[in-house]
Amino acid sequence: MAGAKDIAGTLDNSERLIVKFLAKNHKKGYSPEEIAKALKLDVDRVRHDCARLSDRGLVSISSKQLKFYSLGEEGKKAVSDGLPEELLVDKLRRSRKKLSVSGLSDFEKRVSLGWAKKNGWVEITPEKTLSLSINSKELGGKLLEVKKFLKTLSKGEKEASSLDREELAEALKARGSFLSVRQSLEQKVSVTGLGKELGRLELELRKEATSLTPELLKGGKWKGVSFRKYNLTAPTERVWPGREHPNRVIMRKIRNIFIEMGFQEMTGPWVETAFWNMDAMFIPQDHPAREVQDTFYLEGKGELPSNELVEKVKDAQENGAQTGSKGYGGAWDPGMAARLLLRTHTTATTFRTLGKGVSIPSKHFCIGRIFRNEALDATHLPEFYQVEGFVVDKGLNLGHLFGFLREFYRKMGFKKLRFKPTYNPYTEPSAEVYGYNETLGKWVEVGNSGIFRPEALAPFNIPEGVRIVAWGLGIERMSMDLYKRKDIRDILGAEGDLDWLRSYELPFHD
Amino acid sequence: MLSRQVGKQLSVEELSEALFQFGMELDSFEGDSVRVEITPDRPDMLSTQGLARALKGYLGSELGLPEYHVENSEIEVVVDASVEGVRPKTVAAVVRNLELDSEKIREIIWVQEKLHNTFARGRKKAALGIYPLERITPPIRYTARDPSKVKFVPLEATQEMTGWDVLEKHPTGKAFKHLLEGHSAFPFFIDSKNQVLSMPPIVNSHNIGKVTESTRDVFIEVSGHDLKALKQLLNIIVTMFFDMGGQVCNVKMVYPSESFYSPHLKPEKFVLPTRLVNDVLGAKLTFEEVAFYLKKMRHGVISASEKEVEVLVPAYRVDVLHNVDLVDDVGRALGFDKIAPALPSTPTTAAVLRESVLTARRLRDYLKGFKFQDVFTLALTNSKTQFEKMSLPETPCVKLSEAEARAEGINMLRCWMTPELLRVFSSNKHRQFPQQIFEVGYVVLPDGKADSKARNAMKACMLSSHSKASYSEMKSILESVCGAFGLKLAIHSEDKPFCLPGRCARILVNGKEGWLGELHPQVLENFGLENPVAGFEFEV
Repeated sequence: MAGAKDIAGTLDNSERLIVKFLAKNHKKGYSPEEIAKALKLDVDRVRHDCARLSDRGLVSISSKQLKFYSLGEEGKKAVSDGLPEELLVDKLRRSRKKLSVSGLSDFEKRVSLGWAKKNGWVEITPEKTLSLSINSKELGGKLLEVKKFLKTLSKGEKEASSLDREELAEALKARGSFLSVRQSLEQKVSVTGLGKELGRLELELRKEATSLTPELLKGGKWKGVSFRKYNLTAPTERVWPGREHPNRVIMRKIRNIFIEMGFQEMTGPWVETAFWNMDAMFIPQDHPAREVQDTFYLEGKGELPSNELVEKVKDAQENGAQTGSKGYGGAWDPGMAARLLLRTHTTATTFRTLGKGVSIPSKHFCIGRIFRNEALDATHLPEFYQVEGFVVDKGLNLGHLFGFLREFYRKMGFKKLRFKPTYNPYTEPSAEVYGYNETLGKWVEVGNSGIFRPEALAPFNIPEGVRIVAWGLGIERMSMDLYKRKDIRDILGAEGDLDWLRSYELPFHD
Repeated sequence: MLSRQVGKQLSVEELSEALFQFGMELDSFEGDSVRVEITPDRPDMLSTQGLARALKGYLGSELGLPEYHVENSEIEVVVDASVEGVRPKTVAAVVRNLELDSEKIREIIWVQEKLHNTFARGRKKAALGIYPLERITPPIRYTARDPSKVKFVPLEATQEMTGWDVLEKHPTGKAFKHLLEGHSAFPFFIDSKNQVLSMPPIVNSHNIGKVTESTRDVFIEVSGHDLKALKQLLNIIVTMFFDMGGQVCNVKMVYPSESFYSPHLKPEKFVLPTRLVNDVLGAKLTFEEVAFYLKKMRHGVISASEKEVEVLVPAYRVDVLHNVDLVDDVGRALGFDKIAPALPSTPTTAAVLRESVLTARRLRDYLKGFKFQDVFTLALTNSKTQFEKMSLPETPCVKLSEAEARAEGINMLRCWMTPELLRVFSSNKHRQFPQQIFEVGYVVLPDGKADSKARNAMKACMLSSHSKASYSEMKSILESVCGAFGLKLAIHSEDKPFCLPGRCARILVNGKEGWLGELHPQVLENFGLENPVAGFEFEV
């Protein structure tokens, strides 16, 4: 164990003063307030120092739960005017006639009579009049006791144990606002043997510095200085780092997952021709999704790709190309395909990629912004993000599609997944992806998927027996779920709360 | 009511689960009626009868192809050459012995409206008319006439109107005016007594075009442009009436160059290779199972073997174009839950885009190091924000075609970032300062060389807002960024309308345009900001 001398070196000025003070006055314990007053120190500092001194065995701190009484509203009134039951008894004694219950005021009936009866001073006769049942002497003695107690308190708060009238106090406390009681933890600090020993040492007060400066570091000046110790739990200023946007945290994770699974990233423009957004993938020209209610169209016309490809798409649309399909019939209009629009799904980018030619097998993905002509509310924005993916290989099937999706969502932390048959003009079979939302306790649609139709692939020289499984999954809904946000505008757009963006809790801890 | 028609007693949970597996959604239920969401490929299921027909198969109470016996009505519809330029095609049918009540009439009207809105694309592709046969004297003529010379009382009107009046005054006329506008002759169905049945695709006559509870026999016509679509719609409605207990009768359609009988309810034959089913679904079904599941979906099966299944597809199915559509039906009947997810061992190598990952991500990571917050603004914006509030004249940008945006205040795609980031400050005026934000993302610029006449351009924008935000603060950061990324930075003194004069520079980062400076108080005022803002933006 370290000796007093060793310990002394680790003490700062205020700690030394406290130990000296206590060692000199070791007969009794002192409260931190008393020490602070005597040494002209700050009380919080003294408390803090005492805790540190106690840790090192120089002082001991005893804590006692103390109770303090003071007068409440009614108590004060009783001191100046008398107790309600006392007043009633006085009235009864002074009255020449019999007092009937019905002749009393409401307060007298309710309070004064109640206590007078309870104390056994007054009885009610069968005629409903009051009769005194205690003699004056007895009454005087009892009243005196109570009034004396109240009077003591009228000078100010008193510690309970010093009064020694527990029973009386409890009775008065039960009478509403007669007494108020405060509890407080009282600490008494006294010096230990080791502290006393240390207190006898000649302790020099050292020069104290608030912070370490280059000046002090020069030539070892710091050695003669002690540094003021901090209150380590005091509140500090709130600071913000520069953080990645929460939606990008999700996108980074998604990108990593697809990279882990061997996918290559593709890209495509936000402004598209209807050709790449719809026609190339066998969406009929009169499909409702093409209408302005769903799609943002732009002024002007775009250019269609090579004649060869355009002819093949025309053939697929009208006659189902050579796939054995009936096609949609009618006449396919290249003018409609040249219309400019904001892409409504990232599948436009998939078909652009197919247009450039893909190797077989290969896996592709992109995370991209898409646009839908929707009114803005808490769950809808006219633009949002999708993660698109497709795998091209011989012999792919619906089970493989489900396999990729299950793997992806498992890595995202969604354990339960279901697939519901649905209709897409460009995939068959098509499956809506449902994830079980633990917070909501229900299944929510999280994406759309399927196997591309033969008619959609016919223009792109995909050999027989090679199939493409593909999906487009919403990102913001996943974000909202992972961040537990109810408004999509928190996740995307200029209206997001900057303080939340600077302080959000990360959704992944892996 | 549905359960009565399906012939099975189902709890709501069982029904909801069956509908999920089938690919429908149970919207809501109230008492003994349910609302079911149908996907647009199955207009045949829009009627209770059609839905029940499908569910009977799906739930196993009635398998295979529904048989339709068609009698001869001896009624002719003569299609006049005059309709060629307006609405050239029609097909018709007769249904006899119906027992209608108000509920059934309400349902017929509802289904007609739903079909008009969905399959018929707002009556453009096809329009459907249903008439009490007893009021009509056949043969019926489909002809185009001068609308000012034809007068009739349209549905729910009290007086005669000319064709033009209907378009101008009748509520349905006003709603569908656009379908006839620009024509000098309008199509009419007229009987041999010269009574007007209707003016398609707008409205029926009130006198002889209104089905009531006393109606037993109906005449049905579908008019439009594409015969195939018209036949499909007619089949959907006729099979619904059949399931209501009516007797379907054919009508002779007499066109100038040909004649045929309608409706055509014969199923279509598909030869489905059995292997294709298992190949696409990733299942191991026997041909017997494939046949069974097809029958559950109300297809007929002529023969089945390990090689192939000969399938008869009901005439009301408009969605079956290819064998994969039958494979999908088998998948639905089997239930997607029964298909085991599996990862194929497709060997591939991952690759990320330089553009999105290497540049944007590294840049973002670097900018965060200055304690600037990454923000994520929208690309759709308006010219007021992009130009006017920035004290700039409008320059070429990518605009939405006029007045179609449903969300308020949207008319273009952002062509630069700065105004959108200022909006972030506008919405966060009461948040802690300093506010320092950045975004690295795409803007869209017109580009005549691109096939879509626009290109995505990646921009980096950083703005700092606090009481001492300054040019030099942002210049230091910009120089650091350019140094770290090996970008060549040139700073030219050039005032911009959105910056304080003399505290603004035109910058060239690797030769690409940008700005650096302190924003003009007028611009700050325009965005409602109360703290100075300094910043820069450049194309990456």
